[in-house]
Amino acid sequence: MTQPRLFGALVRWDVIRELRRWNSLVPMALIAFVTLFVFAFAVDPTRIELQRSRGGILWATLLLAASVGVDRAFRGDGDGRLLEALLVAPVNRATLYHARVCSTFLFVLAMAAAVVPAFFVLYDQSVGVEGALWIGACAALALFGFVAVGVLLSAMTWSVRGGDVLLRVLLFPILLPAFAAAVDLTSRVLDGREADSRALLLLLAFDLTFLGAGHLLFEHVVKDLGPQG
Amino acid sequence: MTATDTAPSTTESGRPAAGPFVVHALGALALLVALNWLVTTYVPFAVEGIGSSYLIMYYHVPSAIVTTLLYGFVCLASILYLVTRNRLWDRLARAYVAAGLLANAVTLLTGSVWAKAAWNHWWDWRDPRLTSVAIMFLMYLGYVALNASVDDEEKRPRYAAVFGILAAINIPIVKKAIEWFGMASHPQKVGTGPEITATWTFGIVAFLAFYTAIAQWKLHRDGIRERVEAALARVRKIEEASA
Repeated sequence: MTQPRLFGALVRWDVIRELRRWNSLVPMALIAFVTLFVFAFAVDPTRIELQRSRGGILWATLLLAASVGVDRAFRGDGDGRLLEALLVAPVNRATLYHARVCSTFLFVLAMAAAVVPAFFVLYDQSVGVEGALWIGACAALALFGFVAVGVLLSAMTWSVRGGDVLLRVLLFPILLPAFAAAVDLTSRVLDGREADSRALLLLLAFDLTFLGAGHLLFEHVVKDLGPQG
Repeated sequence: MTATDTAPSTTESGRPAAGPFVVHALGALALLVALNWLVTTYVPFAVEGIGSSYLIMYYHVPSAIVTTLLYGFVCLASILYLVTRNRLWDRLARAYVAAGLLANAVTLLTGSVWAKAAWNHWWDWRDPRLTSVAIMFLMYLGYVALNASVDDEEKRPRYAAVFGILAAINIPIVKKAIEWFGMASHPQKVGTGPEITATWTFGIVAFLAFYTAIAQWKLHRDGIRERVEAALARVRKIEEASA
C-alpha cells in the first residue's frame, strides 16, 4: 500500500474510532461551552467594554478546548500499545504524523464549527458573509498550526508524568504569537474594521513552519517505539 | 559515544576540573567591572528625551542580544544531538538554557525598570518586543519542566532536543515583533555617538563572557552530579550483589 493510501486509511480509521467512542469531540465541545459560560460571568457580556475583548474570549475558548483534542491525539491510545502497533505496521512515521494531524484537525474543526455559532448567539454578535469568511479562514489556519505543533508535543507528553499539564505548558507559549494574530484579525472583523490579510499570511507561515518541524522531528520523538527504534 | 566519553576535563582524582571555569568566571567579572566603569565615566550621563534612565540600556540591550545568541546555540546543540546522539550536546543545551534564562530574566527586569522610568508603568502589554521576550522566557521554562518530567534517560535528551529546536521559532519573532505586530513603543535606538556604540559593543562581549561562564558552571555542576549518581548506582549494585 502506498503512503498516500496509508494516510487515507489511518485518517478514516481515526474518524471511525472517534465516531464510535466520542473520545475527543465530546470533551472538547463540553470544555468549550463551559468556558463560554465562565467568560460570560467573568466579563458581563452586556457591557460595552466587552467589545474590545470578544475576539480574545472566542480564541481563549477555542484554544482551551482544542488543547483537550490535541492531548487525546495519543492519550486516546490507552497504554500506548496501539501506537506501538502502528509503528510496527509498514507506515512511514511522517505519514503517521500527518494522518494524526489531519484527523485531529478534523475533530478540532468540527468542535469550532459548533462553538463559533454558539459564541455569536450567546454573546449577541453578528457578522456579514465576508466577515464570516474571514473568521472561518482565520480559524482554519490558526487551528491547523495549533494541531500541527500540538500533535508533535502530544507524542512527547502523553506518556510522561503530568503530561497533560506539561503539554499545555509547552504548547501555549509557542502558539501565543499566532494566537495574537488570530485575536487581532477576529477583533477587527467583529468591530467592523477592515480585516488585514497580513494576519492570514502570518498564520500560514506559522502553519508551514510547524508542519515542517513536525514532519522532520516526529521520527525522533517515536524513535524508541516500534521495530526501527 | 557515551556521556563519560565526552565529560569535561577531569583532575587526577577523577573529579571534573574547576580550573577553566574559574578563569572564565574571573575574566567575565573583570569585563563586567570594566563595563560599569565605562557606563559611569565614559558615556554621556543623559540623552535627549529620556535623560539618565537610558543608562540601564547598557545592561538591558547586551543581555537581550546575548539571550537570543544563547538560545540560538541551544537550537544548534539540539540539532547536533539529534544528528550525532552525543550526550555532550544535550548537556551543553541544558547548560545554555540555564544561562539563557538568567539573561532573559535580566532583560525582562531591566526592561521593566526602564519602562517604569520612561512610560510610568512597569509593564506594557501593547509592546510586542517586551511581550515576545516574556513568551520566550516561558518557553524555556517549559524546556526545564520537560527535562524534569521525563524520567527515562533515553527519551529525555531526545524530547529536550526536539523542544529546543521548536522553541527557537520564537527567536525571529522577537527580532521582527515590532514589524509584525504593530505598535512600536519599544525604542529601536537610544542615543548616538562613538562612545555609546563602543560601550554597547563592549557590553555585549562582557555579558556574553558572563553568561557563558554561568553555562560553564552549570556544565561543571552537572558533570559532578552525574559522577555522584554513577557512583551511587555502583554502590547500590555492590550492596545488592552482597545481600
